[in-house]
Amino acid sequence: MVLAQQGDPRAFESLTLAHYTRLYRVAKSILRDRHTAEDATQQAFLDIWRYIRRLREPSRFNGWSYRLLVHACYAEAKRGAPKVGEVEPLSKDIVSTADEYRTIVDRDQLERAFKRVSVDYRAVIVLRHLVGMTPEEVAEVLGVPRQTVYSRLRRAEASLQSALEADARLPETPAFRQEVVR
Amino acid sequence: MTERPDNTRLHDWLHETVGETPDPVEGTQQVMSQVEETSQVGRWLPFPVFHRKARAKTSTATDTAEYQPSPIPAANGHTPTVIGRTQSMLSPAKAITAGALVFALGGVLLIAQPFDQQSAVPGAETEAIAPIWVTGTVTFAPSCSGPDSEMVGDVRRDWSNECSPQTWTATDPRLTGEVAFRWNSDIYQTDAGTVEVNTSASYLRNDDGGWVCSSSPLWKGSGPSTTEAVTGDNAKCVGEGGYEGLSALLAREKGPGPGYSAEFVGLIFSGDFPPLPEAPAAE
Repeated sequence: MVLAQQGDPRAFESLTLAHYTRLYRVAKSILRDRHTAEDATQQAFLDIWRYIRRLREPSRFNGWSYRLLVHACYAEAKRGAPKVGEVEPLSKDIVSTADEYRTIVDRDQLERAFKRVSVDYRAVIVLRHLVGMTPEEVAEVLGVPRQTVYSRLRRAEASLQSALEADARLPETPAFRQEVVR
Repeated sequence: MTERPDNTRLHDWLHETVGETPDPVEGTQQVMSQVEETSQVGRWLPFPVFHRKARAKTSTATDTAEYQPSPIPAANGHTPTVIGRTQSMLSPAKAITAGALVFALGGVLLIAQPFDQQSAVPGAETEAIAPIWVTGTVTFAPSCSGPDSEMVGDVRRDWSNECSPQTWTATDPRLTGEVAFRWNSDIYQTDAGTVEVNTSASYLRNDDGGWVCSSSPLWKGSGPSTTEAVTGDNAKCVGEGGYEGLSALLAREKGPGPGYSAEFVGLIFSGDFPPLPEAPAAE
């Protein structure tokens, strides 16, 4: 870390390698698109390189890097839709039972609902529920008061619920049902 | 599936849907291919401004107003604020005290010095001086801190940025010393990229007095952060302490580049900046 702060590219390369997957997972969860998430992750690392001398306490690197990543995600989201319409592979190749079908429908509904939630709300949800941060830690990462995190979490969950309810009112696509239960 | 998504479900769903992660080696290589073109230290500091020590929280409202950076004249149509000078000059107590000291210490002789010797004499600000050209170099701070950030709608609001201390070395000793440099930014994402509106303040202190300088440069970038100054930087400076009664206007070409110093040119003069012209009468 100190060497990277002193401008050593090799040290920064090691740092990037060690933290790449951690940041990518968060970016992917926020942006829901692999290519956009890779772009955001790479931009976050470039920002880390650029500003790493501002980091006075190396022990805070993880939180600080999340902050830069979230801002990179905001920027990527602002650029618009994902570059490529990508189909994510399902964790199970063959779905044969009603429960498994139900699980996939749930996942699909959650996916659609989550994408309807604004990116700043998604960031709060991901940091809280994927990374497992406390609201205080989320507040520090996002640079907002703790109460703001609480209110964003409440609103995010409410938005998610509204999106799920709206989604539930839509008829299921017969083709999709046919595909997953065959 | 219309019930409120509980935390466990959210947690599980988020973990399940991350999907395959890309090869970190490949990702790292892509990052490293761009690192060479990316200057470290990040932002090339907007025009450095001189800084004083943080004031205690017990400061009065008057104190707070007194030490706020002055906005750029004509910006947003607001009347410019003169920092910390008007009140001091008009303070009867200070005037009496200063007068007594001058006579007690033979200050009359000081005031009587030629103009070219007054430039480095603390307390000489009570006498008008001829404008003096200054050139100098800003050496940027080795490290920075901050910012604290918040998204307000689509705007990223950064504050508590600081790169200190900078070192100013000028042809006039009054503009030589260590500088605390701070800035706040509002960062907008536009179709043309990232744009940053920036209010910077620099505080210089040396043995004889101090300066408070402010400027509002415009920055842009292609990523989420800005890296390039769009405009050159003009800083308005107001003298304090031994330099009270003096003003300075300092100019620097835009963006010093990835180096660690920048040249500036400026003028020190007596009195205030000219007042903001009045708005035309309504028709």
